[in-house]
Amino acid sequence: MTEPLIPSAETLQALQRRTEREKSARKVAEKLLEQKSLELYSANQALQAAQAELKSQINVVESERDRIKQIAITDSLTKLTTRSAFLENLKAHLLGHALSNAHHSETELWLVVIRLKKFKRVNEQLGQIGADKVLQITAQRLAQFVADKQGEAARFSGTEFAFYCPATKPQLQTYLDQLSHCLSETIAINNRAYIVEFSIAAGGSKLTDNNADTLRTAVDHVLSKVRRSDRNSLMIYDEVERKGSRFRKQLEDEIRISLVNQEFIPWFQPILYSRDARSICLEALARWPKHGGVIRPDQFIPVAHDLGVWPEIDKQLFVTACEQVKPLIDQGSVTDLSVNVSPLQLIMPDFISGLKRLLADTKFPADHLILEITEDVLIEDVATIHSQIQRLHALGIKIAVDDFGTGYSNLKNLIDLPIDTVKIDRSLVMDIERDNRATMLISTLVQWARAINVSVVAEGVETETQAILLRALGCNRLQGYYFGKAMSVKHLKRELPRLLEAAEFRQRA
Amino acid sequence: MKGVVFTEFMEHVESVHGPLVVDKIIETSDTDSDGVYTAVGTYPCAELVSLIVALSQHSGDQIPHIITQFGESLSLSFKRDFPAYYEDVDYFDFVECVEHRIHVDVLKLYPDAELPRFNTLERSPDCLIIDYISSRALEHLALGLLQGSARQFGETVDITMATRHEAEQRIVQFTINRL
Repeated sequence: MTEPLIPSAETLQALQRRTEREKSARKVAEKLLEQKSLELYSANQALQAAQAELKSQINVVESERDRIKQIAITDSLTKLTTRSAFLENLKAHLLGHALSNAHHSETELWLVVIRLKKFKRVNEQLGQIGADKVLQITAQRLAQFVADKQGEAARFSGTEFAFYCPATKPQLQTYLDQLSHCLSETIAINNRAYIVEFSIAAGGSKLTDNNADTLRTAVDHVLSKVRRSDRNSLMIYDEVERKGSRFRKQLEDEIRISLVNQEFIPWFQPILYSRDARSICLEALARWPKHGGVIRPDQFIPVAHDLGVWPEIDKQLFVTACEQVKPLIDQGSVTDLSVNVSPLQLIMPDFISGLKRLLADTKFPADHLILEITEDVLIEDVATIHSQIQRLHALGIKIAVDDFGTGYSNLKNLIDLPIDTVKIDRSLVMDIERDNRATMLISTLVQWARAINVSVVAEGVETETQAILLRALGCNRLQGYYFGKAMSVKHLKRELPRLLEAAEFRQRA
Repeated sequence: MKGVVFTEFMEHVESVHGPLVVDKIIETSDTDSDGVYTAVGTYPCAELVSLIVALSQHSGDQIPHIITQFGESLSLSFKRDFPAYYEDVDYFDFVECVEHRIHVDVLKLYPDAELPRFNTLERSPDCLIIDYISSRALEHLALGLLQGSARQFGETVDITMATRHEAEQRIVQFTINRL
C-alpha cells in the first residue's frame, strides 16, 4: 500500500503544530543566546576591571620591592652602600680585576676599612643626634674621597666604614694619607669642634690571591692590630703581616683547643701587708703553659677576646683560682684573692648573678674577694658602674682600681665611686728612688686615700729601698718582683712560709 | 533538567515511532513548555516523566523499557558529539570516568546541573560494581547508557540491578559482568 499523496488534515495540523514548536524553540534559544552574550559581556567587563586592579596591585608591590631593595643596598643614615651589597660588589670587582688585569701590572684592588674609635664618648658628649651627624659627615667625606677613584664606599657597621679602589701600592699610600688628613678635619656640631679618631686598615688583592674572603680576613687582621694603638693610625697588609696572620691563625687554633682542654691556669702574685706579717693577699693572673714555657697574657688575651672565647677562659680561670685559694684562706695564711675584671664585663646585666653562682659553686667566701677594675671604667656609663659596685658591696665583695695614675681619670668620678682600694701603678713607683716629685705625688695620693677611707697598694716594687720608702709613705700593701713574681699554686704553697717570714723580718726592720 | 535530554528524547521518539507520535505525546501530556524545547534551556524533570508516560500509553511499552531504550540511543549521540571521552580507554575505564571526568566537565559549563553520582565499589578484569545515587530514580536511563556504551566498545555484558536504601537515600547497585 502506498502513502496517500495528499496528507490528511490531521497530519497537516500535526505538522503545523510542529513548525510552531520549532519556531518557538528557536526564539527561546535566541533569547537564551542573547542572555548568555550579555552575561559574557559583563563577565568580560568584570574580568577587565579585575585585571586592571591586579595590575595596579602589581605596581604597588613592585615599587615596594624596589624600595626595599634600595633600603637593602643603601644605608639609611649615611646613604653609603650597605655592607652586604658592598661585599657582593667587591667580589665582582675582584673577579673582574683578576680576569682583566695582567699579572705583571702593579695595580691591584684594595680593600680599606676605617674604624672610628672611642665613639662611645662621642655619643655621650654629643648625644645620639650629634653622633649621627658625625657619622654622616664622615660618610660624606669618604664618599667624596672615593668619588674619583673608581671605587665604592660603604658603611660596614655602626662605626666602621670601608671602600675599595684600584691603585698601586705607592698610590694607595698617598690615598690613605689624604684620607687621614681629610677625616681628621674638625667637625662643628652644636658650636663644639669635634675631631674623629680612627684606625685604617688596608689589604690588596695581590697578597690575597684576588679572593674576597682572604682579603677581608687580611684586613681584619691588620685592623685588630692597628686599633690597639692610641692615636689615629693606619696599616697595610704586607708580607710581614701575612706571616703574622699565619702565626695568629695557629695561635687561634691553639687557644680553641686549650680552652676545651682547660689548659689556661691562674698564677698568683703575692701582695704583702706593710704592717701585718701574719698573712698576705694574692692577685690571680692568667697564664697559658705551652710548648714547655708559659705564654704571657698580653700575647693571648687580645686574641681570645677577638675570638669571643675570653669570657669562657676567664670563667675557667676564676673557678680554678677560687678552688685553689680557698684552702689557704681557710687556714688563715691568705686574706684576700684579687681578680681582674674588665669594665665591659662589669656592666653586663648578668655579671653579678653569674659571679654569685660561681662563688656558690666553689664555696668561696665573697668577703675575701677583691675585683680589680681599671681606670677605663670611668669612660663607661658611670651610673651603671656605680650601681653595680654597690650591689657587689652588698655581697661583701671589695673593689680596687688598678693601674691608678696612668689613665686620665676624672678624679671626681673616682671619688664618687664606692671603691675600697687604689693600686698605684708601677710607673709611679719606679721613679721614687730618684725623683722627689714621684715621692710627693704618692704621699699626696696616700693622704687623699686615707681621707676618703680607701686603702693603697703599691705595684711594681722591685727593690728593698722602694719597699721601705713606700711603707714609710703609708702604702697599706706592697706588690712586686721584690717579694715574688706570679707563681703556680704548687710553687706558692712552697714559698708561703718564706714570704711570711720575709714580711715579718721587714716589719721588725 | 538540561534541555538536551528533551530534544534527544524527541528525536529518539521520532526515529522509532515517527513525527506524528511525537506530536501525539506532546498533545496528550499537556506540559507547561507545550513541547517547545531547546538544547540550551532547562526544564522540569516532571515534563520528561509526563512525556514518557504518554508514550507508554500510546505504544503500550513498559516505562522502564522506554527509558532503557532512550538511554541506549542517548549513548550513540554522546559518542557522536564527544568522541574524546572514548579515546585510549576500555569500557570499564569509560564507565568509571563518567563520575571523574564527564561530570566534572558538565559542571564547568552548567554549575547548577543536578547530576547523579556513580561510586565504584569493586573492579576486577571481568566485573565492575558501581552504586548509582540519584534523586530522580532514572536508573533505567543509566542502564540504557551502560548497555549502549558496552556495544560501542564491542563488549558483550550482563548487567544486573539491585536497589537498597541507606540513610534515606535510594541506591541502585549495578553489577556489570563481561561475558
